[in-house]
This record gives sequence, C-alpha cells and structure tokens, in this order.
Amino acid sequence: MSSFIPKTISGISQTVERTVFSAEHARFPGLLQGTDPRAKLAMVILLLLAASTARHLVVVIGVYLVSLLFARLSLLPSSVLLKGVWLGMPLFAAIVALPTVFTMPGRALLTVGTLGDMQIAVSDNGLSSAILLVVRAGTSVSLGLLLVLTTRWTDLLKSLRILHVPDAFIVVFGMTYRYLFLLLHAVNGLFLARASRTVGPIEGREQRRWIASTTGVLVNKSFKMSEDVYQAMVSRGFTGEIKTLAEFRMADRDWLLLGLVVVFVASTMLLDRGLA
Amino acid sequence: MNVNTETPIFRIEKLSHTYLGRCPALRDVDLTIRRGEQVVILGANGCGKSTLLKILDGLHRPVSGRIEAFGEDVTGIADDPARAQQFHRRVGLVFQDSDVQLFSATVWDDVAFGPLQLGWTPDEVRRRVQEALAVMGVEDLASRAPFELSGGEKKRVAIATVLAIDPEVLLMDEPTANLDPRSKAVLVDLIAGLGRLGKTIIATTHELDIVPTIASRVIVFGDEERRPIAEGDAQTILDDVDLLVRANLLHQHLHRHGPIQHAHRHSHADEHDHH
Repeated sequence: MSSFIPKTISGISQTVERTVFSAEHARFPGLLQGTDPRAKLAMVILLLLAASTARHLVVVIGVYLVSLLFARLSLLPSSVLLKGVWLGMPLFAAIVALPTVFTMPGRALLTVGTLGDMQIAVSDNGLSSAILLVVRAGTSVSLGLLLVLTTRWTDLLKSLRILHVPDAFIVVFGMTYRYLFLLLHAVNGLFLARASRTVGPIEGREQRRWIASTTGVLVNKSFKMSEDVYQAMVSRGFTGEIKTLAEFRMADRDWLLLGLVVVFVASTMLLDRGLA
Repeated sequence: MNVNTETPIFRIEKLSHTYLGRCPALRDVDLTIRRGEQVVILGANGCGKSTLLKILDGLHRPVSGRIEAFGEDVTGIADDPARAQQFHRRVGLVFQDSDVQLFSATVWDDVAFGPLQLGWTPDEVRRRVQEALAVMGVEDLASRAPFELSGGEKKRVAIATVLAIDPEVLLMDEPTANLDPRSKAVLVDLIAGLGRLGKTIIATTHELDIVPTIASRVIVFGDEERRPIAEGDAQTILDDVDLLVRANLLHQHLHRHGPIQHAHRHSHADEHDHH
C-alpha cells in the first residue's frame, strides 16, 4: 500500500494536468477541434444513443469505427483512445457482464461444472450479450473521451447549455474543475513531504492512521482553497455566470458534419431494426 | 505622472474583524489611503494584513467599523454582488497564492477572465489582455498552461490578470513571497514601474528589502495590536530598529562569521552589516 496510493494519485494528477487542464489535444488543428462545441456535443450524444440502443454487435462496432475515424481526423494519438479505453475498462465491464454469460438461456458452448443437477455452462446468447455489453461500454467511453479531449473545458461547460443544464450546475462543475487541479497538487505535496521524512518500511496500521489524518488535512485544505479560488473569481467580477470569449458560431461545416452524423445514426438504427 | 495625493480613495474607521467569532484578525483599524499613493503595509505573519486587503477588496464584510471608498460607504458591499462587481472594476487584488488566481486552461484565458466577467466586447477583451501581458512581460506565456509556469512567472501572470481590468487601485498580498532573488528583483521593478505610472498600490509584505523601492508611504502593523502602530516614509520606518523589533520584523540572532561569533538584530529578508 505504501507506494500504490501515492503512485496512483500522482498518475491521475499528471494525466489530468496533461490532458484536461492544459487542453493539450484540444489545441491540435484537427476536425473535431475546429467544430462548434454545441455541434460536437450533439453529435456525441447522437452516437451514444446509437451505441446504447443497438442490439447487434455489428452496429455497435460500426459506431465504434466512426469514433476511431473521428479520432484519426482530429489528429489524436491512437494510443490515447485505444489504450485509454481498452486497457482498463473491459475488466470492469466484464465483471458486470459475467453473470449473463452463465445465466442467459441458449446453446451451451463450454461447460465449466455442475451444481447438483444443474449444469453451469457458457451459453452462446450469454457470451454474445456479454461481448455486446463490453463493446458498447468501450464505444461509449471512446465517444466521451473524444468530446473531452477535443474541447476546451470552458467551452465544454458552456455547450452544456444547449441541454438546458442549469447555470448553477455549470458553475459548480467549473469550480470542481478548479479545485481538483489545486487539490491534486496538495495531495502530491503531502505524499512527497511524507516520503522525504520516512526511512524504512511502515506498519499497515500506521499507514492507515496516516491516510486517515491526511484525509482530514485535505478536507480542511479544500475548504480554505475553495474559498480562496471563489474569492479570486469574485475579485475579478465573477457573479455566478460563466463568460468565455469563444463565441460559438455554427459554420456550414458544423451543420454538414452534424447532418452526416444524424444520417449515420438513423441508418444504424434502421439497420439494427432490419437485422432483428 | 499626475498624482493627486490629497484625494482619499479609502477611509477606514474603527475597523475590526474576527474569524469564527473568536480569532481576532484586526482591531480598531483607522487608515486613509490617498489617490496615487504606493503604500506598503509592513507586518509579521498573522498580523491581519491579508484580511485587511480582502476587506478593502470587498470580499469580506468586517465585523465592525466603516469603510469608505471613492466617497461611498462600501462596508457591506460583499453582500451586494451587482455593486461588488462595479467595485471590482475599480479595485483589484493580487492574491498571495498565485495558484488560486490562475484556474483557466491557458494564461490567456486567465488574463481574459476579468474583462469577460465585466461584459466588455471581444475586441476590447483582446486589447486589454494583450496590454496586460505586455506590461508584465509575459506575452510569450500566453498559450501556456498555468501549471507549467515557474513561481515568478505565475506571479507576473497573476498581476496581469488584475491589470487587464485596469483598476484604479491595485492591492497586492505579499507580492514577492516565495520567489527566487532574480524573480523578486524583476517583480519589484515592475511594481515600482506601475507606481511611477500613477497607479494607487497597496502592498503587504514582511520583506524589508523591497520596501524602499515600492513604497511612497509605509504603515507598520503591530504583531500583537493587529492595527497600525506607526507610519511614515520608507527610510524613517526602516531606520527605526526598535519599531521593527516590536513589530516582529527584526530579531536578535546569535550567529558565526568564520572565527567570530556575535549577536545582533536582523531580518532574514535583507543583507545586514556584520561589523
């Protein structure tokens, strides 16, 4: 446990800094980066709808391939989308899907044992349902990543207004983003300060005690920090409404792209129904 | 430089503030700040300097007392967001911790935050941002993320975020805290330059070495009293060793120089005579 927690927090901190806060990928001159955030949000929601309502694997794979195409045209490194999604996510999705493999009626593909008179086997329907669930989850996460990586955080927040998300929610969301950045640094600092004063192994009980006290310190710090950040915003004229310079204008290209996605999503839904 | 040092910008009477109803931060502070002055509030850590600046910026409502700014009573302005926004157009605060002030994705966004909140046109915002970045010499940092900056760069950008609003009064909380000597020297020169342009500046510090360069008047806050215990020009204040000791800005310290061991009063923020 001694190195697991600090390494994890440090990893999260570096990843968040590099991607979200620096808007590293949102600055690339790619397709989605140059698309109006509102059009982009609508496109991603439509594609998510297509992926989550499809009942056939081939349709979901089609949506996933479109997300990869968008990633390619947006100059995103393939590792960001592929590794970021498929290295960790399938494990969690598979855990959720596991019972389906054995409980869904169908032709037995592999018998793993018996329980009394009952045969425990992997069914064909169960397996295909589980695969569908994992691919659907991967596709959804990929689409979410596409949106987050190619859009500056402030623009993304502002674009939520097309969904009639209340201003108060957007403000709270924005503040959370600000605190997260500073708190991650504070956590890293605490772990580093402790590591610099630690010689040799520490007992698990002592570790747990330290983690508990650190959590308390962080809560206090977060209160102080939240007040300071808010005051720093108020001091520069903030009254509760997010104002950014990006003036969204739906260009012809944005309408065209949105139209293409609408046609694609409608086609996938028709295809899915046809396959049924 | 056209400075009218007779017009009070702030008039503070019997100002007191406590935290959690029991921790005193300020006690019966009386203070007048005139237009065009560069005032340094000198005091040890925890003497109430930061609290005073936040109250002057309309962020805290004092527990008691009265504040007049630009001829109007602004004591309770913290409770009136619309009026406070107009007030923040005229008074800007540079926080001690630059990190709380730099929360946007890029330096440019952070500097544009204030002008945008005040509802200026996009062209005006762009012009203000460009000017503020140029004054602080950080144009080349515009597209960088704040977390990539050094401490000195962060501080200059933090000042630019306030200058972009072009306030009449610039409040600066410990502007040179935690900076390396070179960054500190650059920043002190920039602050002095703003003062020469006629900007009203109120800066807090406990670093004696920067005071002569940036202050036209010095107000010393008492460590125990939590109110001004003396004021005057920089040289007069810095020459009063007893006053500085009383305010916890100098201390007696036994130390060694080669074979000689001796004790005398000094602060760690300044070079001192060793003879």
